[in-house]
Amino acid sequence: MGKVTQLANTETSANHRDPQDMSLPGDVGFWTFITADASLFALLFFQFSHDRSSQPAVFDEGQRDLIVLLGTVNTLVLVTSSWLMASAVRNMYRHSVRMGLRLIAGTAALGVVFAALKISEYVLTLRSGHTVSTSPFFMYYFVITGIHLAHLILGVVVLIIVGWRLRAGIRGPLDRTFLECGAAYWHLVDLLWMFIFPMLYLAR
Amino acid sequence: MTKNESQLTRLCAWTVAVYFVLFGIGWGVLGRMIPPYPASMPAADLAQIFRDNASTLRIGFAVAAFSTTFFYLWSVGLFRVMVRTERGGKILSYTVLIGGVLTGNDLMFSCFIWLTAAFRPEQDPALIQLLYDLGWLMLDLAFGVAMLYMIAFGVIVLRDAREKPLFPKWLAWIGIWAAMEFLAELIMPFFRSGPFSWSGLFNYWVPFFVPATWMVIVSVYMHKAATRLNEEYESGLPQHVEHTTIG
Amino acid sequence: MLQTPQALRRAWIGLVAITVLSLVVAEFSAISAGVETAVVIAAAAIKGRIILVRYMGERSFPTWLRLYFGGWLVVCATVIIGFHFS
Repeated sequence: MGKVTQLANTETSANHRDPQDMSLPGDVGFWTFITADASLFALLFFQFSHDRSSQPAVFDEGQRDLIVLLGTVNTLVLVTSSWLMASAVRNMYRHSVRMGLRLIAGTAALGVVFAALKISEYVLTLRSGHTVSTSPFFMYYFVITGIHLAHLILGVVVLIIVGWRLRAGIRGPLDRTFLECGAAYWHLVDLLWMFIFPMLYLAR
Repeated sequence: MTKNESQLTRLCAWTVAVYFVLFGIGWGVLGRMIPPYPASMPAADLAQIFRDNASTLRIGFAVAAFSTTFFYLWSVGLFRVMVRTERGGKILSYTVLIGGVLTGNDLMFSCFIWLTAAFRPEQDPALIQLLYDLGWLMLDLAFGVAMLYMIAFGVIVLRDAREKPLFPKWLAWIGIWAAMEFLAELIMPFFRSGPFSWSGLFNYWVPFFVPATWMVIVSVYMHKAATRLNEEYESGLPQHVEHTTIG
Repeated sequence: MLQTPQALRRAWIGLVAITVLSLVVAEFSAISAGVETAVVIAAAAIKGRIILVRYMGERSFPTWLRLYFGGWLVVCATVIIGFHFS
């Protein structure tokens, strides 16, 4: 597919994105936000791993008190939500607006489920006597999952805004940008959890 | 933007350099704040440092407090450019102005507090430590005012509908991101050491040096924008009207 | 680039399967700690790649972004595993 046809597709059919369209989803500037955020989490991972290497026993001991089941369920919840969001984008582009909106709502709902499970996990962990100052491990556990949770909650808000804005479907290029940026942000939240979960809960 | 306004705005853009040099030398080098002493340092040790270096600390913090004068000038210049960039009512432009000035205030007042510790360092070490703590808690936890101007700037720039925007969109996003990162300061009071304390990676190095770099880049574009706005004016393009009533 | 519903579903199955596999290796096997860590972190990178390509549209990223994320996955996995063995 030639470059000329690509441009024609993006300009003339604002509602139906050609499946062969090779343009970057969303907005280039927004991806710098995504990369900055991903970089911050990478730094968090490095800092955690570095501190762990000087006292592995302390970290392993702390890890044993984590509720792996809740972490695993949350992982499954989040990957499912990503699937729903990707499907939502596809549906919106094919102008199946009602299905698209339902899928966005489903994504947000799973996000709320994740948050509820996470907060329950915090309550249980705190009840068993572990706080942010119990040990370096628990400092990282609460802070890293906490920053992730804050990102996730912001993501749910973004999804609600996107859903509201697109309630009549995609009506222009700005709607597309909103949808794609919202989806990209949500997938980032999922991507980060893919590392956070094994790093904190499983790796020893 | 008239020629006179354009020239003054460009001058304001340049004042960021004056601010950074004076603040960098005063606060950073003489004030021994790159990096700061950790919150875990015993009061006796901290007091000893203040006694041994009282003169340089006094000059450092005094100059650093004064350097914020140029931060305010920079804010005003940025405000003028924002007014010409912002579409519609100028609420966000005023937010940039207020946020910038309050951020300068935050920097200034925390320098007064550290200056006080250096003024009479022979007093009880616990008091020196108290002042040092106070300065840092104040500087870091007032981050909200910086969020105001960085996010308002970001939104104005994102909404700039010019063919060739005055500021690049990625600069808006980096500013918004850096402003959001400040939220990590909310957990700073829980830690006296480690990466989340006031001397740590996430509550010192990232929130100070990323926004500082961002400010420099903003200033470069601010300078260019002032020139372009003058050209727009000279060539008779419709100007963004400023609503000059205050309140 | 829009993925087909089948591709999206397959990606989800892959993500779920790898998650379950990681859990089994970590909690229900007698593999040594070092190997176990390498497995679950490598699995994380693979899951990340699936999300990147299937859900985030990595194929249509500009070069700098592809390099960034490719590098991000590799560097994060390597550093975490590397520190584990140090």
